[in-house]
Amino acid sequence: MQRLSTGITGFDNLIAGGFPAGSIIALRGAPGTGKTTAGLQFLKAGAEQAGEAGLYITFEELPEQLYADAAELGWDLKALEQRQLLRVLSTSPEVFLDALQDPYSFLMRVAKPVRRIVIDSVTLFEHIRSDDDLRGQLYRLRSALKRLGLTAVLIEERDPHDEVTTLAFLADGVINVSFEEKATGHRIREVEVLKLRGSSIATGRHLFRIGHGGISVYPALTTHDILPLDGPFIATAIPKLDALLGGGIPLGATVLLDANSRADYRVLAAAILTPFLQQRHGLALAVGPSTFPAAQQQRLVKRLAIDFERLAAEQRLCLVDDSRVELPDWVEPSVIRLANMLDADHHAATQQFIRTRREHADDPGWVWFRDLNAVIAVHGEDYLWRYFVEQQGLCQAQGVTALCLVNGSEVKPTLLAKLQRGATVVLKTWVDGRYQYFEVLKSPTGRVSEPFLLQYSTDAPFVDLR
Amino acid sequence: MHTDKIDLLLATEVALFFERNPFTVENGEGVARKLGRHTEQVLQALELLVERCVLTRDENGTLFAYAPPYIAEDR
Repeated sequence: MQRLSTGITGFDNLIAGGFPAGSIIALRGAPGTGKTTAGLQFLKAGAEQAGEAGLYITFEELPEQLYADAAELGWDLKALEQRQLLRVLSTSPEVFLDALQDPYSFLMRVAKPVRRIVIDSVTLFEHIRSDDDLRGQLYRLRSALKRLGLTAVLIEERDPHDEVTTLAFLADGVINVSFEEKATGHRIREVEVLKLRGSSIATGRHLFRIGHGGISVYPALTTHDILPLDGPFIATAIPKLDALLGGGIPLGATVLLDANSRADYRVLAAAILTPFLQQRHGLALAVGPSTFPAAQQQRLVKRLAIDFERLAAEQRLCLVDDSRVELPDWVEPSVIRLANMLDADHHAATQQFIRTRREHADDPGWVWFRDLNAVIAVHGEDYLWRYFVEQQGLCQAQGVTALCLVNGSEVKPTLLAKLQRGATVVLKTWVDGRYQYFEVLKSPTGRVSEPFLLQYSTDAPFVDLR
Repeated sequence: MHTDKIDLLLATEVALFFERNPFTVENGEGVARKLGRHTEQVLQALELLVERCVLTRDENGTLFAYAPPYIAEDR
């Protein structure tokens, strides 16, 4: 399929290289979001990069204003017109629609044969006095553009948050541009490709800026090549996750797993933890009334062939008890009791626990599954605010890799931000409707991911990202 | 005399509009809307400019376009 570059830095990467030749694209946005600039940049790219003539149809804005605005961006549209590579044509919606249907059109003779066209804006078709309703007129427009084989950008003056319009159904592609106000109060422009027939698209909103030279889009998902991690790491059981992390979980890293209350984190956690056990790491496990010894009986543990008794016998098991859980006798030597301690004492005992994980430099190391929700329930958020970063720093020094579970929606945003800062890897999973999602919010490679659909399967590792 | 003066001023205004926006193809109502003028008066000015070969018009006589020498050869 032939594709036409949009000429917008970064944007072609979102749409598999450009607009498919002959496609009709709806470009929707509120005033001031950059639709006109994007349209002109598309035509300018065709003219300058491919020698393709372009036609800009403007119904309200006068061409002289467009020439002036373009000059501010460093573009000389009149020079392109003199080279027969561009026409900025001012007319009325009804005149234009009529001309498109007329084989001997006066207007199209002025327009000259072109390959690309931008129509600014089709919203004004609503005011045409005609027997056709808006859908009929847009359908007529679409048919004419297809007949002429033009690649067209149809600008629509809409707030993208409004309802889906007729044009969105008729067009081959739909692109929204909008102003979004961020938490810090500043407003940024964002672009989102909602649909592009025959193309894989990078979903989600991406920031763009308008400066000298035009629009530049900055894809939200960094697209640079992933460099493998420098230090030692252990691959998880999920290859897609490893690809984003540069190979796997770095030894001594803190991995924050943010799971909302409806999301099942256990299979994910197992996919991260079990490769450590296969590499003969010790397993430190937070225990509570419902996690152990019930954990032994879980189908998942059985399916993963995690043998707690064997781990205990090999002194590779450590159960961190924050709440005086009754445990079987055989596991008692592996238990560290931290219940009913004042915060400072608990912190000191936790540091001691971390320091004693690795007795010899050649020990493979430990992986610690830490339930921060339980810590908050017992000690409050202040405890983590004061000690989390220090404790995880010590983990890194001692080669203890930590997988820390938290429900980010139930802690203060400032604490969540602090936990994320202290983590090497931040993963998030949540249930929305009837689906569970997963995304990488922070990784040692700097790569973040789009939201994956998390699907369970019957075969190891029992989870896949799609 | 007064009416002639208005016609001439308006015709100049319309001619300048087409000079600044040379690829305009419009009917009288559209040109009037873009200039913020009465349609009937603009139509008179358009007629005058067609007579003076500043503008051309389509076969139906309803659409007007600029006809400056430097783009006449393009058509």
